[in-house]
Amino acid sequence: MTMIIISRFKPITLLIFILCSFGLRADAETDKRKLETEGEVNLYTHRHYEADEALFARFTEKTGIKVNVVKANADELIERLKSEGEASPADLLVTADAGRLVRAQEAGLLQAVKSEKLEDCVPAQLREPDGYWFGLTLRARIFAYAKARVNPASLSTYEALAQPVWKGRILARSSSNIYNQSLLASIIAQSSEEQAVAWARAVRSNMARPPQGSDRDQMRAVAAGLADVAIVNTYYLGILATSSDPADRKSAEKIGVFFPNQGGRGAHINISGAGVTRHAKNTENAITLLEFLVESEQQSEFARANFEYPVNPEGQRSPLLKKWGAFKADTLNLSELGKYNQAAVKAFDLAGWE
Amino acid sequence: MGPAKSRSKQAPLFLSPEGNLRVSAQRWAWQLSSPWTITAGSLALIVSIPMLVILANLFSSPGENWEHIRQHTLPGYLKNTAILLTVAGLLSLAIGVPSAWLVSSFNFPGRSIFSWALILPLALPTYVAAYAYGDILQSLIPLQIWVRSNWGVEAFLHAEAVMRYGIVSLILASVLYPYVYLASKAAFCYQASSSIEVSRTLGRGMTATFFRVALPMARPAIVAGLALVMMEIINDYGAVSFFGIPTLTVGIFRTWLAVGDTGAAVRLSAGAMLFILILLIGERMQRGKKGFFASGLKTHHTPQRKQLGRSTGMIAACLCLLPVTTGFLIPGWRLARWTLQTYQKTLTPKFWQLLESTLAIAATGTLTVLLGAVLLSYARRVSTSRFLAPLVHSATLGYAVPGAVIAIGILLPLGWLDKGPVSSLQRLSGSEPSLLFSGSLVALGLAYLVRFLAVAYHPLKSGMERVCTNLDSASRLLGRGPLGTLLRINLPLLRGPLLAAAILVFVDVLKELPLTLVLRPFNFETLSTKAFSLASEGRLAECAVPSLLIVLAGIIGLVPLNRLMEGWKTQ
Amino acid sequence: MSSLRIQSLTKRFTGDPKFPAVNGVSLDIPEGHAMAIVGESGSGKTTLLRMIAGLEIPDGGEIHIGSKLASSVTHVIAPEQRGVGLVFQDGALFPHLTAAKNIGYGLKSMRRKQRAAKVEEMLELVGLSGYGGRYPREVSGGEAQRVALARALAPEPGILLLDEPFSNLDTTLRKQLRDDVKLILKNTGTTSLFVTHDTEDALAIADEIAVMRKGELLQVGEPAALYRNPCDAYCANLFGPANRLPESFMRGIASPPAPGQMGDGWLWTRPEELEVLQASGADAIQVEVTEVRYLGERQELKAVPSNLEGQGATLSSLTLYWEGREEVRPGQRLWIKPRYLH
Repeated sequence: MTMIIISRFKPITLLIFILCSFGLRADAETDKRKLETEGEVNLYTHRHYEADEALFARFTEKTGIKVNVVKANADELIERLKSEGEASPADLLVTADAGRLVRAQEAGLLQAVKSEKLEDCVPAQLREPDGYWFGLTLRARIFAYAKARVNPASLSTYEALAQPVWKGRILARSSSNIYNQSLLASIIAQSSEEQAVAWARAVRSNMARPPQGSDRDQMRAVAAGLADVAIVNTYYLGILATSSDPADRKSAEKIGVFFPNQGGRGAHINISGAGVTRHAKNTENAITLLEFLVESEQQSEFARANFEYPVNPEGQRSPLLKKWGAFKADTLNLSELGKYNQAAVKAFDLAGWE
Repeated sequence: MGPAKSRSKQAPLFLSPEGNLRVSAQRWAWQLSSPWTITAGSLALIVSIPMLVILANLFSSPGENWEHIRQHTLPGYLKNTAILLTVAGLLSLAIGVPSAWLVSSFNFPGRSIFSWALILPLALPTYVAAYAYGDILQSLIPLQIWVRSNWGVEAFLHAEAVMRYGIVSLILASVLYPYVYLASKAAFCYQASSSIEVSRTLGRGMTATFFRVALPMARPAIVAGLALVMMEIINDYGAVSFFGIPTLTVGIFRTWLAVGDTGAAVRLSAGAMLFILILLIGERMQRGKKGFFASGLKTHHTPQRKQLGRSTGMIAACLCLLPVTTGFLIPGWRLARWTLQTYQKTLTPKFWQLLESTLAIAATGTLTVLLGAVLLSYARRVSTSRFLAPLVHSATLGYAVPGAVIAIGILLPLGWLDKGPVSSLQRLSGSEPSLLFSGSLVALGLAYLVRFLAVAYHPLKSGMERVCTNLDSASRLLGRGPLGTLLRINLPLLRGPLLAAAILVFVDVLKELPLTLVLRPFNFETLSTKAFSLASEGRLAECAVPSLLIVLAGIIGLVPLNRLMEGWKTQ
Repeated sequence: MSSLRIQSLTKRFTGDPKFPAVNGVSLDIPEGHAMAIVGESGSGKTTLLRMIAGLEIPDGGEIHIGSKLASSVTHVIAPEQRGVGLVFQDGALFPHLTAAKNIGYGLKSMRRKQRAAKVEEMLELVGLSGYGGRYPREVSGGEAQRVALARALAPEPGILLLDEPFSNLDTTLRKQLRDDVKLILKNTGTTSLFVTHDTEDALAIADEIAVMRKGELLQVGEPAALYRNPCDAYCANLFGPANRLPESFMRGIASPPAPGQMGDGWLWTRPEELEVLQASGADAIQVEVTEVRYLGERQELKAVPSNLEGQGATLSSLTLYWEGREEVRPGQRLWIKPRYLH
């Protein structure tokens, strides 16, 4: 009887083979990992900077705890955490934006941790009050202007870019970008959704071309003379200035940095940060890693390698950042960015900012 | 021999007077229980699950976000998608069909080089092409400034808004036209070759032959190639988001990631699937009932190419050079220059490991997808069941669904499996709950199967349609079962389509980004994820090395395809 | 070798449920016999063949191959388990295999040496010794059909089915191959069923012929019986020119009518069964020549009976053979009478 079934269902063996071909590789993979579980911490991270890898290597060297990493977009990682539930292997969720951490917290994916060291090193504004997440690095969204054509004195606030003087002179990337969304969320938090829509519409109509490309492309276009001001993140200018491509470095020389709203609430800032996941299996290791990353030494390293600002006031800024000078940062609690993110996206939609 | 005998003994003869109904019910059960139907049906079902999960979400009530999307952004998404489909679709036809006709029907300088060089753009992922072109377009800024200063800001902005579509369409068509090219070249060389010769002996010139014989006969193949191009266009995220054209796929990402509304994103995905469904049905209808069978004996026919004169030959060569330039040489040159600036920094031993693991995953993925496609296409051939066709159709829809959406569709059911049955089993056996499927290579393999099944299935199926069914019958009558017939007759005869399918899938897996990004296990990196992380850091120059390697690996994959096609001709 | 028994076999295709492609066909082929099914295209003869092979599943009826029930309403044996060989119209040789490998394809249970010997034997049987290494594209159409025949015969099937195996060949080749096939079938004692639209092929090869039309068998019998005693106009005209004449006129000369034949006072006769006279004689009737065709050894005439009282209205044009030396012209009057053949 079994013979009948087997020979009648020969094609099924084919199907099983198809499904197994990947399983075999997967087994080999997990076995390899299990051998090394003496001490490990598993990261889901949105940060894809090579500088991070060097830091993790140093951490492993110092503590013997191995760092395993899955890199992907924060939102996809949040979806993955949701679907994995309590069986999730992740211990730490790292994002490049406070809004995403808020979203993960609201979805019940993070847990509150207490650590004096973390509370000492990270200023209160840059961490969740109960310890659900902590900022690791800081960046500001600023104006990159053409030194040759713009007098910095004519620049003032984000709001001022809506004035008709700037017609055909502004560049910014697409509204699908999280940094633009967070900027608009901070404007909503300051004023109202209606005013945010009006601002976005006015800025969009002042643009020198439809939004396209990355922050880097906006700066290169400014350097080439297509526009006078671009709204960009600080570290992109650092990357441009130290690029392997000589054309990039030449562009960076033509660009000046202006921190907006210095007379008022301060320049819009955002963090990349991390939170311990709710079902973490290596909670202690995760906290150890967080504590390691906010130490002033590592903070200086972050700043040096990726041109970000350290969250730990004792961390050293890189020479380039020092050259740009100190600035006043918006004191808005970063949780607000997550709260108004959806509203910001819809405001962009209404304003016609693609 | 065993099974047949025992089955015939076991099968009771229902010869009751009211037999008709019972007999037909039995016959129905017999059809369904055919092992090929069951196996292929279950594979198709498994592969359809992500799509079903998405469609099932359609029936949940739409949230407030949906109203906002429907009113403010959906019309734009649809408009942009339709514009790109039309313009880039027409462009790839305009590039792919004439170049295939030139290469297959005329002799001119460089013909044999162009014959394979025209496939090269296929090795270039659209996102890499977009990075390269984005950079190259920066050098056009002086021109833009000149236009603005002469014609005013308003006129310039209007022109820019329109130009974007043109540029993106051109980039998409430049790297996607090889789908049309390959399909129509195969049709001109093999399917239509006798008819083309007949037309020429009837005194028709090459032009008349092209429009009256070759084009109509190759139409099914051309449209099939075009359908692939259009699916890629609907699916593209890298290029359109880089140039700020919000298409349906951009909308899906935006809704899912930025708005955080999975339900609404799934509704948009269903919209994208609808686009594809229309495409596929259209493709089917145009094929109609026309059979384009050639007997198994006649496939090795060599068409005679016409020698072109010196000047016309040069024109033909230039016409062929143009798409190679826009689709490959220009972006390739940009990548190569970046590579020269950065290779010392990036080519570390770690990098070779990365290359090795990428090739391994691409090879395993290709094997999986190929086996699945062989199973489905052959089951369609041998199965008499009417239920298989719609199942297979839904299984091949995955090609149309954006990778990120497939990822949702896979994460949900696998997560359910892991949380439910698997963790219960683990608790019973006293071990801590851990993930079996999610975040494993099984999930990734399944994802590739869902995403790329259509890529392998369609060439295999049309290849099988060209193999005369009498060969199968002959083999069966000589005592080989369906599996033996598949292994000994169909697969050897399908070497060409098999290899073609393998290469297409291999290149696609190499290029694949969003699925690998979301579903990969810990510490797992491929060339494409590496290129992506470097590009999103703004380190485009460093991103060139992995990108170029993806392109090179793709080219290596293209070589056997071309050799094979040449081989067919000389045999 | 096996016998073949078919009982009220029926097949409907979805497109046309009212007119079955094969409608209640019953047929018996004894062991070692060669049967031909003759019919025009669309008569259902190929469908019948495919059902016997197991390539189509019947809607009703049974097929017995030897003592084995191969197909009934409730169960169907797969083609590979029926022990049936089939030679296709186009040969259907596997293009990627040599002639030898094609022939050896069905000999899967044999050891290599044994198989090679059998393949050689088969090649010799079909007169293609030394062709084993050639690929299908390297042999001519006639040779391809010989290979196909050898391939089908190699596993020693219970029944050999041939689907228009000569229709793709030119006349000389066809006649030669036909004779060879007949000889091979006789020598190997193969039970065979042969489907064709060409009566000449059927008459040459078959022990028995079945005439099929619109899914039904019209008449089954030995070639001579079918030629002499066609059951109706269709069968009659299938095998050559035939004349419909009153039984009274023909009485005593044509062979007695087979059961179920017209019996309405008319008989079918072949032109050679009528004697054509230049002068009136006993029992002769007068005809007027309308057309003359020169055929070499004789002339074929079309003629209309001029005074067959009371029956002339239903008599159509007759076909006659004129073997005399005198020239016959249209309009000329001649007389005909039954030739005493028996």
